[in-house]
Amino acid sequence: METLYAIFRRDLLNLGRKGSFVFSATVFPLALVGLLGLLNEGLFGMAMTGWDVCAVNIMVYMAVYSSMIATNSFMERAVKATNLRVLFTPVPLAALYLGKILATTIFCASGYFVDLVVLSLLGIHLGPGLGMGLAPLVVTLTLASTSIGVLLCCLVKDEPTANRILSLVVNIAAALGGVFFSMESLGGTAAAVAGFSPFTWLREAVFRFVWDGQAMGTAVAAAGSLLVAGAAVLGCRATFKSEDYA
Amino acid sequence: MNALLHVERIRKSFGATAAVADLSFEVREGEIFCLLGPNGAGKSTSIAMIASVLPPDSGAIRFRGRPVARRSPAYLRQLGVVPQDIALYGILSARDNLDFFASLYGLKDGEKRRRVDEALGFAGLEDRAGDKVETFSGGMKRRLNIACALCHHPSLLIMDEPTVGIDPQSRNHILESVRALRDAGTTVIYTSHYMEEVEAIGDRILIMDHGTRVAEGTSEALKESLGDVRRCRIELDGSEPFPAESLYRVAGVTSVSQDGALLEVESVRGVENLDAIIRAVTAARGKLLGVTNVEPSLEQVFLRLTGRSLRD
Repeated sequence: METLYAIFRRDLLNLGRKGSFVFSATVFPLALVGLLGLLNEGLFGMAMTGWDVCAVNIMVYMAVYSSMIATNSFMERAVKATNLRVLFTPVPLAALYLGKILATTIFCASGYFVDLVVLSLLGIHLGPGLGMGLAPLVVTLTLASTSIGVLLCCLVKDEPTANRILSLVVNIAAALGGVFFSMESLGGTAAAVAGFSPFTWLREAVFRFVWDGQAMGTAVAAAGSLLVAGAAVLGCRATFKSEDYA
Repeated sequence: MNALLHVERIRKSFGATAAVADLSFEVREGEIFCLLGPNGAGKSTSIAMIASVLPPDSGAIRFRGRPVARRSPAYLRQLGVVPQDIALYGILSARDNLDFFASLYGLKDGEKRRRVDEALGFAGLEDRAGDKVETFSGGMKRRLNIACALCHHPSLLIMDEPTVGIDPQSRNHILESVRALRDAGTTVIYTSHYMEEVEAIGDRILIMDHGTRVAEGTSEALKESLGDVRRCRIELDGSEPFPAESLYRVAGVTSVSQDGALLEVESVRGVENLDAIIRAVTAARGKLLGVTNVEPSLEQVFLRLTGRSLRD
């Protein structure tokens, strides 16, 4: 546990010292909400505004997008040499990928918490406690996402390839799930396809929580995310080999 | 000296290519054991297998007589590995890098601080301990790269090409430090493709090529294996082909080769024929610019055994 903590702490500090990651976890979601909020400002009703809808969409999207920061911190060329050096020490192999998963999750989720509070203070409705009611879902969703990112690195053994795959899958699923524009407006077939995207389910669950106070959907989503994270970690255990770094 | 590490017929292939093929050797306690070979000879792959990062396809590794289980913590605690690439966190200070890697070996509190200070002293970086590594010169990074493998006082230090791309001053510092470590009782495996380094520090040398052992022994023994041959190099006044037959008439001359304006003449050791060689060259060419006696080297041993140069 001590070595896992040492690796986690080091990974967390490394993430925090990299400007591009800090930007991705804090400013980027706000900028996306700003951009899409302006474009959708008049498209929704007075009670639930375009800003409210976009904020929920983007925060769900960003939590899932965290997988790409995880791949970067796990197998990017610049960190591979130091990770290999860690493998020369007597730490368990699992400490390496668990450290990355936990550090990326804490780092990204912390940034998203700040965003939730900022957006709430700006008058966007994100539920009780300045949006912090969504914290459990944000954390578990981010955990599932970072675990999948690291698992994909273990499988393809290459960070750029893992990122290309993730980027494609996440963005297609997000588009189909109505994150960037409403699929319903494209007709019945598009709306039916949207029903298959996890983003649709996640958005539905969050909207029910934020607007109707129904926590069942977010609780199920959080529990499902934990299961996905657990499965991904087991996958990492089965597929990660020290020679992947050699 | 007792054998600390036994490597027995280890083999590793990547696809159809055998990077290491049935390589065996032993490393004795308290020696500097060098693996010498050109790039691609299989040195780093061998090191990765010894360091438990890469599993061998076959063969065995024994440490202090006991078989090494894959990634055995007890075994890894005895090793210090200096990777070929600089493996440091550039945004951290030298002290923080040492502190982090020391903590992975279970060092704590006062003991860790003492070992970190000691490692900083080893690297000659006491006055830069708090500076970020990204501000360091290549030589300073190389020294810190080594120091990070030393905090836990390993019994076997494995150094994979630790002097690549650094200035002569830093290289000398590193070579002297390696000797000092050996003198203090640390066993060292040192890989390099620089024969000068290996000749300077190696107690025993294993020459590798294409994943296999070409020769093994002390530097002197390896050079003696060249046989009773003496070489001299003559610098000609021009690079036109030299009529070699005129030199073959000189008593003791066994081989003549020309590379541009340089003529290399091999003779049987013990036959005093240098005057006659010079006379033959001046008779054929009228003038020569210089004559050098070529000492036997590991480069020549490698050339003799593999038919190619270490730098090919």
